[in-house]
Amino acid sequence: MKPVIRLFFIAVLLFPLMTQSQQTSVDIGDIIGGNFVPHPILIAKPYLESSDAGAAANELVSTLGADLDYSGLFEIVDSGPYPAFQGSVNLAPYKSSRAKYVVLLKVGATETQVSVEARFYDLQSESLIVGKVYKWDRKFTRQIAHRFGDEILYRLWGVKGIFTSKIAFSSDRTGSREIWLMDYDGYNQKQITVSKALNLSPDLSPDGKKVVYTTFRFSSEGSGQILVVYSIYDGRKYTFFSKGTLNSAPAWSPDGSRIAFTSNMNGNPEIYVANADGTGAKQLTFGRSIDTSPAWNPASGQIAFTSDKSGNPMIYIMNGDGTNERRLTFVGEYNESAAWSPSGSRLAYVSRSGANFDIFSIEMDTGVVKRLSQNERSNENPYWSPDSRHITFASNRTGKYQIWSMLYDATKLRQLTQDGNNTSPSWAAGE
Amino acid sequence: MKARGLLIFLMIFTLAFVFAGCKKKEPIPEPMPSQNPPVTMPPEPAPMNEQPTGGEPNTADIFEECTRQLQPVFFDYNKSDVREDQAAALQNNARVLKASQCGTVTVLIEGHCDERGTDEYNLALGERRADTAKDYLVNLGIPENRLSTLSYGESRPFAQGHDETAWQQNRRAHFVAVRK
Repeated sequence: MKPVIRLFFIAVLLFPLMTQSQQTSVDIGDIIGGNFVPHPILIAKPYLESSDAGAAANELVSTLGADLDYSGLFEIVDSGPYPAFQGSVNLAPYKSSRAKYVVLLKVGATETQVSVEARFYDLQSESLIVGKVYKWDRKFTRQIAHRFGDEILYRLWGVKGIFTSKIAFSSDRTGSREIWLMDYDGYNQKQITVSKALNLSPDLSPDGKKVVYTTFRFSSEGSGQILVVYSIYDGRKYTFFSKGTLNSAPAWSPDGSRIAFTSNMNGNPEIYVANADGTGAKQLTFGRSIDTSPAWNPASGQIAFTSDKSGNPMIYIMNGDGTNERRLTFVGEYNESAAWSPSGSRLAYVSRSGANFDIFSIEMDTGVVKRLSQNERSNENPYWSPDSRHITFASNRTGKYQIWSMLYDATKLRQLTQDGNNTSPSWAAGE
Repeated sequence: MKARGLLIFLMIFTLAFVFAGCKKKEPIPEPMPSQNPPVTMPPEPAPMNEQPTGGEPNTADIFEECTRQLQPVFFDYNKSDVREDQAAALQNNARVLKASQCGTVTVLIEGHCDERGTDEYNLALGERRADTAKDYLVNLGIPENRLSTLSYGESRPFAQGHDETAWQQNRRAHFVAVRK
């Protein structure tokens, strides 16, 4: 048995693996079903190839453990009672645990480099589900754990994990409102804009490589908000739209070719869709009401938006060409900030109830509404994770506005930012 | 207050003559309505752009002075229509913008919201508040080309608190006289 496992392992390591680069809109919830019980998984204490690899190994284990736990798909089994990985595969010591899976890590590290052999086994069948070798700059140790976590989810369910995904947001921590980018777990926060103007409402392109946001232009020809597209990894920037004095609430289309946004270029705040280069703007809403905050349904191409045409802001839905408009929310006096899960099955939004603003989510098939926050001051700007399982949002429940994230059922709550006010999170695949 | 206003006015008035005399390149001031004495119009641009020299008085800026005379207009929560009790402020602003001192300045009408609600909705709501105030002034005879709008949404609160006392201060249209 052992030589067979080893051979299989080598084969997996040597052959180029299928990567999960393809965007998927499959909802993992549909695959695992409603009565899913998280899989017990044991991350064995790593085998250290050198004595100074301990810190990197700890970072790997804690990062991967937090990832898998946060997914809501795994339950981390305490590795304390079980022996460390000895460098050559022997699953016997772990078979006595109640874990269904085990992760074995071999870690080597220098001051600048880290090398990892990571293996993920099904303990019952003793089969290697995935094995990967990583050699990277020491500072990317967390990224190695994230990547291997994504591999595990992909191998088990065929969906792309979110552990390498990124969240963009607007923060005033430097004294001016700038666009920032961070890992999905709040680590690695980086400032993107340095314009010292007001920079608001970032929206990441579906591939995570570009961000469109609202900024203010002051000029003698007229001051107002313009929409700017910035390529995060090559620094290129262009003005997407600047007609009128109000250009706001941008949202990339699911294929990244177009952007929906609000503009008053024809007098009243209305929703438009234009090509990503700013050409071909088409007006989708009409009338005297405020229409804003468009959100695409990646599955159907429909657009949800906010309109106060009933007297109060409410959520409406229309086709991507502006036809077939219908009202979605009727309860409360302030519903705003619609966000569609990538699978299209759920729509999250903000509703004011009493003095507070709370996050709600509608099952689109059944119309069942779930409340996801309660009595915790203002909770705004919900945005779904690329795997349709998590929601990030801004809340001032601890004082200032911070970015939070949670599972779709309001469990696994995490605070992701600490400094200044942080708002308008947008979540997309990583680099 | 009145005395100070008069003093500032006189200083500007005096400066107007000084600059009218030495700045040949500046455009000729627009002719004034016949019922006003022709000399009350300060030439543009106002003295703020000039390098201060030791011998010159510290003068107030005409744009600052006009801005000071323009009153804010406050709105109800989530509303952009002009409240009855706010009409007087808009009527005052129309008077100020027709009077000789501020008779040619352009005005940026900023729309503001309280902190509740999202950035995105508040940007649109602030724009609507600025638009409403602009429409009101146009109806009172102020040329549209002297008025422009800009929404700050909730991003530039005037009062920093987190209760109705602060919020009602922040739901406003704010008027700023600007250089065209």
